[in-house]
Parts: sequence; structure tokens; C-alpha cells
Amino acid sequence: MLDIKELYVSYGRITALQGVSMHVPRSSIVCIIGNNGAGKSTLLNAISGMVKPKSGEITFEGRPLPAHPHQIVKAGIVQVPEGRQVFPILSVDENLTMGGYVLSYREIRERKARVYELFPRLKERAGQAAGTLSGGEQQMLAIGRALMSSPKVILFDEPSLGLAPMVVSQVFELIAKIKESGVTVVLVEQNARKALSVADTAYVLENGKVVLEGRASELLENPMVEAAYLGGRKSA
Amino acid sequence: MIIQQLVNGFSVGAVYALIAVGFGLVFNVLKFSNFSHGSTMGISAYIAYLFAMKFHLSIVPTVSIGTIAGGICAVLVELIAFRPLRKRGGQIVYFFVTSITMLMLLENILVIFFGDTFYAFPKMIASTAITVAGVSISTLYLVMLGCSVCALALLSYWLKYTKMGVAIRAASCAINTCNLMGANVDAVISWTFFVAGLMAGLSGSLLGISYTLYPQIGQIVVKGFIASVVGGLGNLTGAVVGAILLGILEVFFIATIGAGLTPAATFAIMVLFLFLRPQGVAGTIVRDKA
Ligand SMILES: Nc1ncnc2c1ncn2[C@@H]1O[C@H](COP(=O)(O)OP(=O)(O)OP(=O)(O)O)[C@@H](O)[C@H]1O
Ligand SMILES: [Mg+2]
Repeated sequence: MLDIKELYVSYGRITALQGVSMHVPRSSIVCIIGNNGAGKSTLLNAISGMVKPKSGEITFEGRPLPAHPHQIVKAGIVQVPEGRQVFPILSVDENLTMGGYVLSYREIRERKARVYELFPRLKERAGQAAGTLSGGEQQMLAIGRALMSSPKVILFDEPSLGLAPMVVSQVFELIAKIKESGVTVVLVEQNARKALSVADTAYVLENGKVVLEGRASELLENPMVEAAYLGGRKSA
Repeated sequence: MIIQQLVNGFSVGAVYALIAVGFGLVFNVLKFSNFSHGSTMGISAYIAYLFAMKFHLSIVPTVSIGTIAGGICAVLVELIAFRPLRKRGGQIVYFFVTSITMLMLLENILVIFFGDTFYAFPKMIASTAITVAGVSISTLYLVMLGCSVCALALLSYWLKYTKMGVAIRAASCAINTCNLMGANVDAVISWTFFVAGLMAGLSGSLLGISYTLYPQIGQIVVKGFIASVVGGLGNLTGAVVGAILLGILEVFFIATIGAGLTPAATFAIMVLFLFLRPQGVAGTIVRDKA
């Protein structure tokens, strides 16, 4: 459903992605793991249109992606950005409004009801400023906000970052549930073991290049992955 | 007598609040102090004047034309001066310098067309007064107060309950994330300037009608700037509070020490205030944002 071919992205002199190719099948979870600075966020931001690739192409449902981020959201690809990025001074409800920005007012109302059904805690806090929510609640809000526009693809950038283990498990359960509902998921994670266990396929990114790809279950067994990304965390 | 001054000061302050809020809106979204806001005030006041003279308009159409002219003018200034800078990723300081350059440029364009003289609007507001509970308030101040309060109320409703209003507030937290949610950043910024321009146009024409019209009328933007700093830069409610404080101070000083010393005295008080409370009236809310 989403195809990336030979993508190069650079920030001035720094080349962040050097010929990344990737295939994201419909209704699956594709996981991307890699160390800090490997280019994971850059890849998601290139898909979202926030950074312009130097070369390469991204096609979505067989067509090239539109040029601007707002058009890409409209096309059905949304991102849950790194660090959640909820709007702190806006209320929970207004954050959801922003998630549904591309919809009509009536659709926003309907989608909000669905999201509140999924996250009763957000409903209790609808009028509260998002900046005063706990980290876990903010992550739920960020996910709920992404669900607002009924996207076809959700890009998650390190959703487990800075969360307590129990909340992390909730987040991964939620991601699995989102996939079950037919949404395609691209999941960037540092928590490689958990990510690989929910994912269908996986890519390992190093210095802007794909160094390994395959079925997530196979990567979980791969000794190289084990050493570099799962080492010492077997009990986790 | 004191209550009367208080009401007058409140009315003048409400007009300053329009300026401060318009100024603050652009500051919140683009993080620079937009002094070209003053030229929007000036240009729209002159446009209102031209229409009023040509078509013998009464106050309501005159002020409406001034307000809309302000919105259009601000959008054009953004399109011509700030957008190219933004597309090239210019630093904040360039925006600031550009805004001052635009203020000077447009002010001088007014001088070219209208000369460096004072104009008076045709008389639109009867110089009567209304007496409420023993306090007599001039119609002029009532009109200023009424228009400003209505405009501020509409603005705050719009910012709270429309998608674009919420997007503007979201953009003042993080414009990139706002973009990531599906809002077109160019449109959000145009709307920010449009709404700020409406406020500038309204305040410019109200000030022109109440006092006189001269090319440098836009320099009153400095008062809006001070009010928004006193209010805590970035906080619109704070800006309104700061502006009303400023208006009341001014009216009191004019009544006590005279118009000549008033600017110096009000600025001194404002500096003192910032010295005691550098975070402004609404300090905590702004800190939350940082
Ligand atoms: N806005 C930017 N300007 C300049 N360089 C950048 C920018 N964003 C990222 N980079 C560089 O691009 C490279 C890839 O960064 P990216 O954020 O994509 O990595 P990442 O895999 O998401 O890392 P992390 O796990 O720390 O989030 C890094 O070397 C980084 O320094
Ligand atoms: Mg990252």
C-alpha cells in the first residue's frame, strides 16, 4: 500500500537517508528499528511530507504522494510524532479537533464520540489542558488525535518513549488493535523486542541505510539483531 | 469624577487591547514582534476616511470598511514581505527588521499620497454624554468601548470554536505539528494575519475618528506592543489586561499631570511593572508554553 524506493534525504551536508527502499503491505504492522540518529524519524517525516527527499519516490496506493503535509493527511496517512507533541495549552477536546482538521464539523463530532469511547479517560479530561495530562495520557491523546481522521496508515514514532512498562504494554496492545481494525501501521521503536513481537515485517536501519529486513519473527531470532538491539533485554 | 476617568481610561484601553491582541496573535504563531501591524492601522484608517468623505458614510459603515481594509492589508503584507522570508527559512530577527521596514515604508507612502498633515473625519459621533448613576460618559468613549468589546468577544469565540481558530492556537504551540495534523500552514498564517489585520483596522479607524488622522498614527502600535509585553508576551488575555491598565494610566495622567508628561510617566510605570514582574500579568501560562 505504501512503497518507498531509493529514498535519499539530507539536511544540508548531513545525509540522513541513503537509498532506503521499503514496502508496507496493507493492514500490517511494519516495524523499523535502529539506533539513535539512524534516520528513523527522518523516514517518517519524509512520508509525512515534512522533509523533502533529495531523490527517490514514495507511492501510496499506486500513486505518488502529494507534495504537502496537509494533503498527505487528507490522503490518509497520519503521524503520531516522536515525543507525542500534543498541544499543551489546548484542551484534550481541542487536540482531537486538530486531529480531525481535514474533516467537516459534523464528522469531527462523530469521530470524537468514537475516540472517547475508545479512551474513556480522555473523555473525563476533555476540558483539561493537554499539557497537564500524565505522559501515558498524553500518548493516548496523541494516538486518539491520529485516529480522528480515520486514516488508512498511521506512522508511530517511538510511542513507548518515556512511559512506564505497564503503559508501554497498553500502547502496544492498542497498536495491535488498530491493525486489527484494518489500519496499516508503520512503527518506529527503540523497544525492539516488543515492537518485533507485534510487527509482521521489520527493517533495521543503520546510518540511513536498510541493513536487514524480513519477517519480524525471524528478526527476533536473528543473532545479529539479538546482539545489537535485544542484548541484555531478554527479560523485558 | 474618578469613576468617569476610569470609564474613559477603560474605553481607550479597550482600543489598545485590539492592537495588542492583533500584535499578540502574529507573535504567537510566528514568534516575532510585528511592527508593520501599525501600518495596517494607518492604511485602513485612511481608507475608511476616503470612503467616509466620498460617500458621506455614517460611523458603522466607515468603521466596517476600515476593519475589512485592515484584514486585507495585513494579508497582503504577509504575502509580500513575510512569506518569501518564511519560505527561505529566514531567522526571527529578519522578520522583525522587515516588519519595522514595512512600518516605515507604508507610513511614508501615506505621506506621499496625503501629505504630512492632519486630517479630520467628518463628524460622526455626537459630542453628547450619557449619564448613568450620576456618571456622565461621552458617547465617543462609549462607541470605542462598545466596538472593542464586541470585536474581542467575537475574536475569542472564533478562536475557541472554529477549526481555523483552534488551528491558530495550535500553531502557536507548534506550527509543524499543526501542519502534521492536516492544517495548511500557509492558510493558517494568512488567517492569523487577516484576523490580526481586522483588529488593526478597527482600532486604526476608531482612533482616527476619535482623534485625528495623520500618517504616523500607526506608531500607536507601540502601545499595543507594550500592553502585550506587560500582559506577558504570547498571552492574549494578558494583553487585554495590560492594554486596559495602560489606557487607565494614560487617562489618569492626562487629568493630573497633563498630556505633555503623560507618555513619559506611563512608560516609566510600565518599565517599573516589568522590573517587578518580568513575566508579565499572565506569567505562569506563558511559562507553561515554553
Ligand atoms: N532538522 C535537522 N537538521 C539537521 N540534521 C538533522 C535534522 N533532523 C535530523 N538530523 C540528522 O539526521 C540524522 C537522522 O536523524 P533522525 O532524527 O531521523 O534519527 P532517528 O533514527 O529518529 O534517531 P532517534 O532514535 O534519536 O530519534 C541524524 O544524524 C540527525 O542529526
Ligand atoms: Mg527519532
